[in-house]
This record gives sequence, C-alpha cells and structure tokens, in this order.
Amino acid sequence: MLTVMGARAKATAAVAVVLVVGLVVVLVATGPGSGNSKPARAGADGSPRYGGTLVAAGSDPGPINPAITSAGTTHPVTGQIFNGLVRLDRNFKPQPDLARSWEESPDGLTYTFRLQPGVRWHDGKPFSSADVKYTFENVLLKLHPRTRTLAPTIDRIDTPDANTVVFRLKKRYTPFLKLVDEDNAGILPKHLFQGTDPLKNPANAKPVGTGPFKFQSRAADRITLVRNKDYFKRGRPYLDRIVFRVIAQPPQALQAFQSGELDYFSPSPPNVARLKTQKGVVVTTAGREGGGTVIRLIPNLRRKPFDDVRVRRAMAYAIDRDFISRTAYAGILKPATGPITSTFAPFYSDAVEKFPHDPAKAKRLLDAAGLKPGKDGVRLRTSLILDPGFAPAAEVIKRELGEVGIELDLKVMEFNAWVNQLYIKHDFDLGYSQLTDAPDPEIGTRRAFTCANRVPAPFTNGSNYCNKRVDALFERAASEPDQAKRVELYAEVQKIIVRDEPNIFLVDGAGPYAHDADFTGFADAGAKATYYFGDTVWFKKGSASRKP
Amino acid sequence: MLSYAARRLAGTLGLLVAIVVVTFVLVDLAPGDVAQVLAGQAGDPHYLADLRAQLGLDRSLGHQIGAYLLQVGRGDLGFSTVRGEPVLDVLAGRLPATLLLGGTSLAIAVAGGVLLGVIAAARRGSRLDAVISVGSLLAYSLPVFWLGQLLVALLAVRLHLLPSGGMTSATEQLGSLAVVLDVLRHLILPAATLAVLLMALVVRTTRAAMLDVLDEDYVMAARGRGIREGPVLFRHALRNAIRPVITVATSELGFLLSMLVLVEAVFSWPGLGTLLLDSVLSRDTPTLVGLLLFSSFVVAGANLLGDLLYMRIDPRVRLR
Repeated sequence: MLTVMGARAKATAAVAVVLVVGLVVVLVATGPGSGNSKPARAGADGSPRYGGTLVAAGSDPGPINPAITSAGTTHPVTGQIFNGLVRLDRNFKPQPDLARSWEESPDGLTYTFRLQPGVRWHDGKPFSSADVKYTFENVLLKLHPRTRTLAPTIDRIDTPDANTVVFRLKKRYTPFLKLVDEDNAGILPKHLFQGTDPLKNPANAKPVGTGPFKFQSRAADRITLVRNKDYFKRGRPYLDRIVFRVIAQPPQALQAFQSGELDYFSPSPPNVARLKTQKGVVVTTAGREGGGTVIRLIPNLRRKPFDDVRVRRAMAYAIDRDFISRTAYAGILKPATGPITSTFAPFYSDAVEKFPHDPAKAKRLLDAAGLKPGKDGVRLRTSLILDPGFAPAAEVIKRELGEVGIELDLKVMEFNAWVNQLYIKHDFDLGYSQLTDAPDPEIGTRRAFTCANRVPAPFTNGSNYCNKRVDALFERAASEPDQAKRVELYAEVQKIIVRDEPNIFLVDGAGPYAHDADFTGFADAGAKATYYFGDTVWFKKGSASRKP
Repeated sequence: MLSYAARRLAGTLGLLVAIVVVTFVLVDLAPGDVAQVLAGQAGDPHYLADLRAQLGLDRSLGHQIGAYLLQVGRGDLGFSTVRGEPVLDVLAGRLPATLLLGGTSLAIAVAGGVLLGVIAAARRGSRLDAVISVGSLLAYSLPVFWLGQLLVALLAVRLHLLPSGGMTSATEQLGSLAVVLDVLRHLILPAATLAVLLMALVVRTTRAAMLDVLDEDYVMAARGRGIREGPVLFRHALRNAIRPVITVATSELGFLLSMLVLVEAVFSWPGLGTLLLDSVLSRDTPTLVGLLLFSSFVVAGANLLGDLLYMRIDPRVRLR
C-alpha cells in the first residue's frame, strides 16, 4: 500500500518540481537582461552623443529638497533636478548656473547676480529673482544646516527686476560665492513653497526644479528622472534618463555593479583594486575634489595624557601613514600632512612639519612625557572609538601604537553612536573622524579648530583645541579679499596646527567612483560631479544627434 | 467566538500601548537623535536646537509619548521628517513588497514543508526520510545572510542568471506582463532564501506530528477499509496532525518578520524590513514606532487567526 502511495506522492512531487523549475527557467530566460538596448555605434569624434539610461546606485534621499539638507545622500538626486546660482569647477572657481554673471562691489559687501533669461520650472512656470529671494529668506537661511550660518552676515536681498538679485552683506565674507551652489543653496519654486512648511511640502515628494532632469517617479527601490528637454543649458542633458536604485548597503551595490545591473556607483576603497582589473570599468576620483576629506584621529585634549603635545606627536611618529594608505585605502587616499586635503588647491600647503614613521622617536617622546613602559612593556592603556568603515585602518593603528607601548582598545560603534560620543558628549580618549574640507577652509576646516567651536554639535572642534593665533588667522582669512594673501594665511594656519597636532592626520583625498566605460563625462561637471554629473555625462553608444 | 475575538483585541490594544512606550524609551536611550542625523556634517548647535524644538524633541519623553498616543488615537501615525512623508504613506508604500515576499515564502514553505514532512513520516526510517530530516536540520541552522550572499554570488554575480537584488529592473520601461515577470525574476532568490528557512521548521513539525498520528487506531482502521494510502495520509492523518503545524506557521510570523529584515537587507528588497533597518539607523522614531505597531498588530492578529482556525479544524476546541 505504501508503495502505491509512494508512487502517487512521488508523481505529485515530481509534477510540482517540474512546474517550479519550469517557471524559474522561463523567468531566467525572459529576463530583460542588463542595461540599455545598446546600439553598436560609438562616438568616434569624441563629441557627446545623445540618449541612453544611466543606472546609478543611491541611498534613500529622504525629502527631495536641496534647500533643507546638506546630506550626501540627497544631493546626488537633487543635483540633477535643481540648480544653484553658480557651480564650482574643478579648481573651485564659480561658474554660471542659474546666474549667468555676477559682480562683487569693491568693498565686498554687495553681490549682484544677473540671472539666465527664459528659465522655466519643470511645471512650465517662469523662474525669476523672486524664487531666489524667497528660497534664501524663507528656507536656506533658516533650515539649510550649513547655509543658515550666513544669516548673520546677510543684511538684505533685493530684486530690482525679474532677472537680477542683489545680496547686501553686513561684513565682507570672501567665500560667499562658494556657498551659493546647489549643494548649499538650491533654488526652490516660490509658487509651490510660499506659505507652507518647507519640511512637509508635498513638492518634496514630487520635486519641481529647473535642472537637467525632471522627476518622473519614485518607488521604494528607485527614483526615475527623465531629460528636461527645455533645460536652459542648450543641448543638454545628453542622457534620456537617470535611474537611482536605492541600495543602502555597500556590499549589495558592489554585487549589483558586478552583475551588470548598475552603471555607476561609489565603491569603498578596499574594493577598488578588484574593480580596476575588471574590463569595461573605469575607476577614478576625478570630479570629486569638492568632497575631499582628511581622515584623522582626534585625541581628547580634555583628558590626560592627550593634553601633552609630546604624546600626540609621539602617536604621529608611531603611525605609518604610507602603510595605511596602501592597505586600508588601496592607495586611493594618500598619506596626509595636515588639516587641509592635498587635492584642495590652492589652499593646501605642505610647508609643515613632517612626521615620518619613526617608532624610536615616538618612544623617546613618550619617555619625555613621563609615560615609561611597565613590566609588560605597556606605557598607556587607552581606547579609540570608530565607526565600522574605519575598522581596517584602526587594526593597523592598534598594532603600530602597540609597538611603542600604547595599548589600544578598539570600540566599534554605529555611526550615530560614534558621532554622539565624540562630538556631543565628548566622552572618549581617541576618536576616528573624517571631515570634508572643500570648497573653502573657512567652511570645511575652520569648524574643527577654533576655540568658539568647542560646542556639542556634530563635526565641530571635538578635540577641544584652542589657539588664539589660529582663531585670529581664520578670522582674517574669512574677510581677506586677496586670494594670494588668503593662501598665505591658511599656510600659516596649517603650520601651527600641524605643530600642535590637535588631530593626528592620517590620509586624505577624494572618494572613488566606478562606472561602465560606455559612459563618460562625469568629471566635466566640476568639483562636485557627485551631485551634478547629469549635466555632462553621455552614453558613448548613443545617437549622434538628438532624436526629436 | 465574537466576544472571544473582541477580548483578544482589547488585550492587543494594551500590548500596542506598551510597545509605543518601550520603543520611545529605547530610541531615547540610543545615542544621537534625528536632528543630529539631519544635521549631517554641519555642526551648528543653534540648528540642532531649532530643529529639536520644531520636531518636539525638546519636550519630556512622557509628553512626547502622550502626544503620540493621542495622535494615534485619531488614526494618524505621524510624519516622518527623515523621509518627508506621513508615516502611513511610508508604510503603505513598503507593505506590498513585504507581503509579496513574505506571502510567497510562507506559501512555499507551508506547501513544500507539509508535503515533505508527510513523505518523510510515511517513509519513516528510509533513506528519503534521512535526506529530508538532515536537509531540514541543515537548512534551519544556515545563517540567512550567508545563504543569501551565497546565492547572489553564484547565480547573479558569477552566472548572471538572476538579478542580485531590488524588486524590478531599473533600465527598461516595461509593459504590464513584462513587469510581472520581471518582479517574479527578482523574487526568486529572496523568496527561496526565506522559504528554505521557514520550510525546515514546517518539515520537522509535520513529520513529528504525523508520526504521532500514523500509529493511531483510526489510521489502521482506514487502511483496513481499503482506503488508498494517499487519502489516508492527507485526509485522515494530516487533518489531525496539522494543528501543531498551524501553531508553528502562525506563531512563526514574528520569526518571519525578523528574517524578513535580514533577507530584505541582503537583497535590497524594498519592503518593511529594510525600512525598519533604515529607520533605526536614522533615528526616525515616527516611522519606527509606526512600523512596530503595525507588525505587532499583524502578529497578534495572526495568533488570533490561528486560534480561530483551530476551532474550525478541530471541533473539540472551544474558545472561552
């Protein structure tokens, strides 16, 4: 009897298995495959070609509104939809965006912007100076985490006509033009935002901008943008569509890229070496100068023995930056010499004291500071707080500090917990940190070193360093109109900070990105190509002319 | 039965209030808050203070919980500043993906698991039984993220047979049938991963329950009356053995939800699981509480449904 049933059950199971396998085979076989239906033509003359869809990896951007956030997850999306008054080229020089020209008064107190004529919002309404005034007064100066620091500097904003905006400042502020790009000052449509709460406006879900791409749709796993054929920069954009696939975890983005499902993403440095050997893939940092960072250790100067400069200098000598650069950062980030990223011309200066890897010297300094080795060879037991991304470098540092008698306990924390411990509670001995410098030392560097910025807020002066001379130099440089003089002032700042070593500078540079070699033009979008690539990227296998 | 259901629902309400309180307290204890997350690299204490005031984070925890409960009483789950959307819209946007993945996996797991469990019990001691039993034990002990990564590395990255993640292909604008097929292609790996885990449990429970009833007199009697083995197993024995399977399937809903978080994260599946992870990391309390309320409600509802199903299947069970 069992045999009879066994046969039936077997038959049922076999049918089920055949059906399931059949369905899977059909689904595998009917897959749309990866990417674009790529025609065989290639752009031979090097001039941009038209059409194609770029699939980019992104994180969930939250509200799609550039004026209320400085988040690096939001601006890659908003940067394609919105514009600022200017855009920074790869040398951080302002170039026209919504403003076609501008002039600064000789006293540096008035900036007059002439706007591009005939610009329209994606919903067809005309763009004007009223949009600029509204966005600054009602959104940017109140809600944008970085731009709102301009509020005490701006006296008033005038709009003498629809195509002119005049900013009147209370005091000279030299980096002003670097704070009016889309990243810091994306312009919103007044007709959709006036009289509403900008944080809750429905347009944050269906954004209307002036940029090269229009918002088409948003699902939980993707955001789709389509070409704005009425874009004010004639002939652009070149692509038909950009699709952002929301992939929060870096390993998943890497897998999707390797499976051919993504055309563009930002790999973590350890994966760069592997991607570089992959055919048809370009890995570079060009166009990311605006996101240059210095990765550093922050000693807590409130605590002994880190208040002793000899101990900080000893640690600087004990750590082999070359080795960390080559191993933990695949050579993409270079050994750092000071508080400003080496790619950040013209303000970076290497005329500072150097700390070559010299464990013997480190030991002598520690001896001099009274930290003699115990019977077990340990001079000091301390801890380092970090987030998981820093773990590979932290392991190297633990070993190297161990060699000079500093025993390091690594405390890996989730990102927010680490920020809170280091910058809000100031409850740490040593902390890892990564601060983005550009587009001006006044904006990116000053915050980590001035006495007044010893406050409980993220990415401020966590070490508790205070040097009146450094404060005075930063203050002068902020209002110094002459670029060469500013360069000199910041060179002196770097010299003093490196001498005092309130942070131990490890590696610096811009983060890498990888893209399918069939696409090009990423770096042409300026120093913040991460945000504005849609303006210039084109598909090599696109058509030679724009189809009507 | 109705009054029983009403009493159970009342109990559930108390549970939901407790969940709100616990979640608020836990998020409050976690370092950092949403204002800090939104500030990003811009360290301005005034900005933090203004934003905290605007979001009501400067009020006492008791006040925040009270205000939230009143709001939920009015049917409003609040607004997620991090996402820029009402929480209800956020949840509604993610629910279909989770229902599809969870429902498919559960259906495969129960159907396949019961079938395999019955076969294993009917062939007790055979080689097939050993394969099924050891296989299900192995499947149950596999770490879900490992299994998921393995499948992706093999079938997506190496062989390019299936997509590595997401729910739809990003490139083409597809017609409606093509969209359905596309979603099904994306569903295969995550659903298989989840189903393997759940199925293992169902197989083991079914096998054990079937072994208990197969020696009962009524099964012998049925066989004695010349009824074929198929109907004996599935109509007579399984009907009596299915109760523990239902218990497992419904009480495993909580387990399913927690597995969903992992599977969705591994496959970038845009459902409630990835939302849960994101809202914890971004300290998005309104979304987090809304999500936990919703999932507790579902789990409590499923348990109630399980009890009611019992009664339907086994007339001896009376609910009081």
